[in-house]
Amino acid sequence: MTLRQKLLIPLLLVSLSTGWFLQSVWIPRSLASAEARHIQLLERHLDSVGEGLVHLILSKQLDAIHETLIALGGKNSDWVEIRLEDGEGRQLYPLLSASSPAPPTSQMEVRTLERHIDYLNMRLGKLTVKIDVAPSLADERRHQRLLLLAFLGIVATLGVVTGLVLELTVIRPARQLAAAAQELARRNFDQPLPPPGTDEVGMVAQSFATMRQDMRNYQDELLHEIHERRIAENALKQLTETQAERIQEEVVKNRDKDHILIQQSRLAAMGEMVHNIAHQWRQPLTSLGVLIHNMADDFREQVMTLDSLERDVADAQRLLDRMSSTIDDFRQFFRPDRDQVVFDAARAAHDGAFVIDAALRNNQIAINLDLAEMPLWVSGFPGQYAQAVLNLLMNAKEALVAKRIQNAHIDMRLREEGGSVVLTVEDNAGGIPAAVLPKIFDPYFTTKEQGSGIGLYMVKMIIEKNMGGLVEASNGEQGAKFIFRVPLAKPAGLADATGEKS
Amino acid sequence: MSGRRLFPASPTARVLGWLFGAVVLVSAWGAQAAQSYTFAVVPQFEQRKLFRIWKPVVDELEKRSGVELKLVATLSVPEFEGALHNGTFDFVYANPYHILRESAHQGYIPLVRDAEPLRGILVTRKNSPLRALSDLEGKTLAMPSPNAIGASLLIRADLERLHHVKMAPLYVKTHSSVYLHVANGLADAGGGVEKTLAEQDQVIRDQLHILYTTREIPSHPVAAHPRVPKEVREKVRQALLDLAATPAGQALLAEVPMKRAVIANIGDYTPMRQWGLESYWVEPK
Repeated sequence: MTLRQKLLIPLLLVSLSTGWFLQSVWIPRSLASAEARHIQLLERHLDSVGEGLVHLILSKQLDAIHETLIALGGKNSDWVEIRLEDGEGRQLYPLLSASSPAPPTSQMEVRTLERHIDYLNMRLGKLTVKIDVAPSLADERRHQRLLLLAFLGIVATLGVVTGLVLELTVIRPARQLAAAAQELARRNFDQPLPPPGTDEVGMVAQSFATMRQDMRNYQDELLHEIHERRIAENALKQLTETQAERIQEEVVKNRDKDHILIQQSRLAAMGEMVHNIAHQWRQPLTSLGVLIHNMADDFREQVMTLDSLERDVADAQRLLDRMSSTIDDFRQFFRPDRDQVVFDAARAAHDGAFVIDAALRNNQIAINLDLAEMPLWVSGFPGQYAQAVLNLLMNAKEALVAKRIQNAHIDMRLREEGGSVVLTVEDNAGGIPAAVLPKIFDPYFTTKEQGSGIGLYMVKMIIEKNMGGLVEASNGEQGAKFIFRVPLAKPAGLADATGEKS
Repeated sequence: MSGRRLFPASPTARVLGWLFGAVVLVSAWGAQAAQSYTFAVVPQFEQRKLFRIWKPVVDELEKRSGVELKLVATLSVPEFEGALHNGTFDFVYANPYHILRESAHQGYIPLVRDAEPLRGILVTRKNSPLRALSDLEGKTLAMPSPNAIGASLLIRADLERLHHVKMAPLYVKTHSSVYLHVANGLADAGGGVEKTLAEQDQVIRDQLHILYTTREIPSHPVAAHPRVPKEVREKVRQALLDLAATPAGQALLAEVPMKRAVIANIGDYTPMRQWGLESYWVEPK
C-alpha cells in the first residue's frame, strides 16, 4: 500500500462514515426536529387564530370568519385546507358547495392540525387545518443538503489538497530518495536529491545527502588507501622477495656458521673426550705395563708357569677390555642422533657427566649427581640432551677454574615435577653478572676470551626447539643455576633408549 | 376695569402679550384650516371588505373636495345606529330608514344617492326544500340586524303582514354573513338586498335562490350632519358627483354600490313613513 493510500483511505473512510451519519442520522433528525418546531409554531398560530375567531363565532359574523380564514389561507400558502365547524359540527368554513381542495400531490407532506375553539366551557367550534410542511422543510432540506455538499466539497478539497501536498512534500522527495539510494547501491553518488528543508522530509534528505557525501569521502579514502596499499604491497612483495633471498642467503650462511660452531663445539667436546680417554686409560695402561713387566721378570726368573701366564694374560685382557669399553662409551656419546626417540633423561644426563668426569677430577671439582633411580622418559634426541648437559658442566668447570673456587663443586639433580622432567645444574662459582644474564642464550655472545658464544645457544635450541622444553638461567645461592624442563613422555619404545645402551 | 392686574404692565409684558395673542390667533386659524370630518359607513360588510370598498372612494373625495375626511366604521349595525343617533359622525353612508328616522333628531342632510333603488330579498339555499313562503313558517331567518331596511324591516313586515309567516330571527351582523349562513345551511333563509347579493362571489350566489323580493326603496344616501358647514357639504357632494362622472370613479362607486349617483334629498325617503315599519324598529341597546 502506498503512502498516499495509507493516508487517503482512512480519510475517505472517515469522510464516508461522517457523510453516512449526516445523510442517514443527522439530517433526518434535524428535519424531524425542524418539522416539530414548525408544527409547534403552527399550533401556536392556530391557537391565536382560534382566539381571534371566538368573538366572530359568538357574533355569528360568518363573512368575517370567511374573510379571516380566506386571508389566512392566502397568506399561508402551505395551508392546503382550512375547515371550521361550529360546536354542533356544522361547517362554517369553507362554503359547503365550494369545490373541495385539490388532493395533496406526491411532493406534499401534509399534516393535519386540529384546534378546538372553546369559550367559557362552551365548545364553539373546531378548526382543522391541513398543512403542507414540505415548503417549510424545503429550506431546512436545502440547508442540510448544502451542508452535506459543503462537507463533501471540503472533504474532496481536503483530499485533493492533502494528496497534492503529500505528493509534493513527501512522495516525490521519497521517490527521489529511493532512486538515489538505489543509485548509491550502484556507487552512483550523483543522483539528484530533493532539496533540503526544515521539515522532516527535508531533514531526511539533508541527512541522506550528508551520509552520501560521507560515503563518497570514505570511498575516496578507501580507494586511495587501496591504491597506496597496492603500491606498498608491490613494494613489500619486491622487498619480500629480496628479503627472502637475503634471508635464504643468511640462513645458509648461519647454517654454515652454526655448522662450523657446532663442529667447533664438538671438537671441544672431543678434546674433553680425548682428555678423559687419556685419563681413563692412564691407570690401565700403567697396570698393563706393570703386568708386562712382571711377566718379563717371571720369565727371566723362570718362575713363569702356564697358570701364571694365563692369569697375567687374563688380567691384561681385562685391562684391554676396560680400555675398549671406555672408547665405546665415548663413541656412543658422539654418535649423531638421527631419529627422535623416547629415552631416559637420567641416563643421558649421566652420559654427559661421564664425558667430563675426568676433567672435573683433574681440576679438583666435585660433581654431585642426584639422579632419579627410576627412569624418567622424555622424547627427543638423547645425544643432544647429553651434549646440553655437557655444555652446562663445561661452562661450570671453566668458571670454577677461572675463579679458582675452593671446594668447587657442581650439583646436578633430576626430578619429575608436574608432568615435566626437571634437571637442575648449579655450581658455586659465584653466579652470572646480572647485566650478562639476559644475553647468555644469544648466539655468539660470550664473556670468555676463547669462547665461541655457541654453547648456551645450542643448549637452548636443543631443549626448547628440538625437545619442546624450557631452559631457565638464574643465580642460586652460590653460583649459576640452570634448569631444563622437558615434558615427561610415555615409555612406549622402552627398547629404543635402552636397547642401544645395551 | 379697576381691578388689580396680576402682572405689572411693563413694555416687555405688553409686547409679550401681543405676541401671545398673535400665536393664539394663528393657532386658531390653523386649527380651522386643518379641520377633518368623519365619514362613517354602515357596516353592511365585514370591516376589511368595507374599508377595501370605501377607502379609495373617501380618498378620492378628499382629494377632489379638499376636505379632510376620516373613514370610520363600527363593528356592528346597532353600534352604528347608536352613534348615528348621537350625531357622532359628520358624514355617513347609511340606511335610508336611518336617515329618515334621524332627520327629525339629528337632521342628517342627504347629499347623494344611487339612482337605482333598493329591493329587499329573501333567499334560501338553492337545493333547499323550502320553495314557498309558506314553507318558512317557524324557520330560522338570518338578517344583518333588526333595523336593516331592505334585509330586515321590509322583509319581516311583508312576511308577517302580507304573507302571515312568522320566522325566528337570527341576526348575523352583515349582509354577507346572511348569505353565508344560508349557503352553509346554518339558517333556513336570509334577508338581504339585491345590491349586496350582487356583490357576493359567484360561488355564493350560485348557492342561493331568491324566494321573495320587496318593493323598491330609494338607495342609501351619503348624508351630512347639519353642523358641517354648507360649503363643505357642497364640496363633498360635488366631489362625489364629479367622481361618479368619471369611469374610474364609477368603477370605485360600483363597489358601494352606487352605479349612478344623483342628488338626494330627504323628500326621497319620506314615503317610507307610510309603510308602517316603525313597529318593527328595534331601539339600539
